[in-house]
Amino acid sequence: MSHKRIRRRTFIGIAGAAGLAAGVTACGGGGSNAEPDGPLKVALWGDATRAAMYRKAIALFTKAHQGDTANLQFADLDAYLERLATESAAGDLPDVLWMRDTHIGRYGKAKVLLDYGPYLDKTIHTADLGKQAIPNGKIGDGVYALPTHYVGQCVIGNKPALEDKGVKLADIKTWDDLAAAAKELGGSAGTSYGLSDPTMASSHRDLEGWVRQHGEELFTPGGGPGFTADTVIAYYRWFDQLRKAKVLAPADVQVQANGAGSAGDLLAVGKSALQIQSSNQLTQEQAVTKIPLVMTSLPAAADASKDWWFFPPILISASAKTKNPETAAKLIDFFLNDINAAKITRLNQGAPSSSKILDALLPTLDKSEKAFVTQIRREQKNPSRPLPIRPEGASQLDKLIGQASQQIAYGKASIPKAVEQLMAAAKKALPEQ
Amino acid sequence: MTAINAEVAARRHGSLIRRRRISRTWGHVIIVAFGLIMLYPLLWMVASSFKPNNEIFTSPGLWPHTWSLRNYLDGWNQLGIPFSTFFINSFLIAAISVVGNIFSCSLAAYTFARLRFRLRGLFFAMMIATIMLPFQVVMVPQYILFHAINWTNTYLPLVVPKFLAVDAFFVFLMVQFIRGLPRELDDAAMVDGCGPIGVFWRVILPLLRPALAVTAVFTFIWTWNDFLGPLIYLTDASKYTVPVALNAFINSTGVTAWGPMFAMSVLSLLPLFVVFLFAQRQLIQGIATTGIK
Repeated sequence: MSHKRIRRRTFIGIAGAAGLAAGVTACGGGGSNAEPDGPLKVALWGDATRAAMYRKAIALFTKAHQGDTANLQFADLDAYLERLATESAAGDLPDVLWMRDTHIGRYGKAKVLLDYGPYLDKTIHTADLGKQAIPNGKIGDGVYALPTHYVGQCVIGNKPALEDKGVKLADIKTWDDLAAAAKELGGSAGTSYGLSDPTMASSHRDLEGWVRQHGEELFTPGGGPGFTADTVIAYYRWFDQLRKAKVLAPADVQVQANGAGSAGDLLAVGKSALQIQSSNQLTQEQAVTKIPLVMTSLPAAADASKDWWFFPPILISASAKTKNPETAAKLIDFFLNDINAAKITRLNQGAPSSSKILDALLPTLDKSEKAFVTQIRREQKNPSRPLPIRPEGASQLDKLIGQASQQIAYGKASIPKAVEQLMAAAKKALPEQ
Repeated sequence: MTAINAEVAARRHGSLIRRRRISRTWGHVIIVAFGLIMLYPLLWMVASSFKPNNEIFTSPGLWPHTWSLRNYLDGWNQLGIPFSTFFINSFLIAAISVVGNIFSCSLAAYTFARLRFRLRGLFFAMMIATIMLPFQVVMVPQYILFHAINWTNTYLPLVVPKFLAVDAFFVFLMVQFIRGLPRELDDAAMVDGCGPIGVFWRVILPLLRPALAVTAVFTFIWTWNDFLGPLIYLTDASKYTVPVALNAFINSTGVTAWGPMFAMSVLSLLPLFVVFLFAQRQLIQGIATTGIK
């Protein structure tokens, strides 16, 4: 018996050892990316087309900086954020990374990003980036991100539909104007709906605009919810009147279209006459549709606060653990201020934050690109109070707003009831600090 | 009288057959209709892969107005690296994973099913418990581990664990299968002079074939389709697997190249289709005999 047991143990030992050996020798060679003078790791979200542009730009940087090189990694936004979270937990963030404004609060507070303090206006120049650039990435006493690009909010219109009814987009100044135009336009030039339903989208910048116009913010400086139920109720009521008048795209149609991105968008396929969205999307939509599109600014309440204007930044950060902070800072400055690099990357992520770059790009832009840049430049001259830094529960709030919007759109809850639930859940998701 | 009776009986029999045939035809119609509904998303994707990008979301119905292979030609090279690279990468990882799982899970299963050793029950329970851990839970600790030994941006984190029997589902599957084999076979082999390794190699492994086939096919499919693992560990575009490469067509903050993505998605399904086609009989036998129904 004991003989048998020994043999069995030996077998188990051999099996285990064989497994290990096979595993280790299965494929040889391990990678290393830890050497201090090796290429920087740079990460951005987007597709292969965007990545190819930025690789070209990085090649320019390498040429200008005697061989300082960088490897680019990319993935679409959700996958990118997932990978970033894992790398951050392991202390392995890329040296230079594009950062979502919705996540800067979380990463900045966790101290995993490089504080730009020692590099500002020595290696990283911010003179041309506008007044909001530093506040966009300031958390506590440190500056952890700077905007390479800005996007704005706007209303985009189907030009033939507008001409058909003699509606001028530039005349839409208030939400009442927009409602009247949407009612007028529904059904013109082959469209089915006067206005797409932005409340069904995954981010809620238009609600943020509404809230700021009412003198409130989505977030307090302490990271709690900064808006009142009354303001949000008024916002939903505005859309609901259009929904009841069958002017707004029905929720199921809208949700289906959102899944298809720009190419299947209700405006791009000619089903909606008007659409509220990020202003940088004008150029993307125009590229995928034959319908001529025009744009104007987001309407404001008649009694809106004057400094409500806001421009979500596309931020760039560095890892606090980068072994080459000086080179990382140089590369960040290159992405922020280099005109030749911007001539390659153009408006792919939005309107460049640097006014010098914008001036240089303007003559090279096509019609819709020019319309976007001209509008955002004009809007940026308006008074604009700082955009609150998104606290940790910001993406959770986006989800909660989405849930409330769906309940209302599908008629599952009354507006006051849905907003009441939203307010209670928002308080839990965003603890005031 | 009897002739009339026989005629009536024959007529009844005939109508019964007819009725059965009709009900069977209806059954088939319903099943085919249901099958088409289930297949619709796939058909939609295949049809869309032949449509120009602007027609995908605008033209109703499956049939493209204009048939075009543009998406296939564009998609193959659109990422700057030919798509064959991603197929080879995926195939390499899937093939090594299949070998690893067959080798390690069968050994582990034999050990749990046939050998007696201290704390066997506890180890078995621990192994089973790992089935319940979703990948998201172990993702970060695993990444930290592999980062510490400089294995990130290599295929090692994706294939080496497969040689250590970490896919507890397959170990469990084979344990159940081996438990169903008569012990007398082991005893007979022992009498003839086999040790535990001999019993495993000469008796258990040949009989384990259906379970090995299930393991091989499912390992291939799961590894081929895995997105999160390769996404996190592979950062060089030239090392991407097919699902990560497909993600590179998507830009949710910009314009997604749907046509090329659908075209490459259709191509990426072909290996799975072939694997199913060839392994079908083994797979059904394996599923019937291992109790995963």
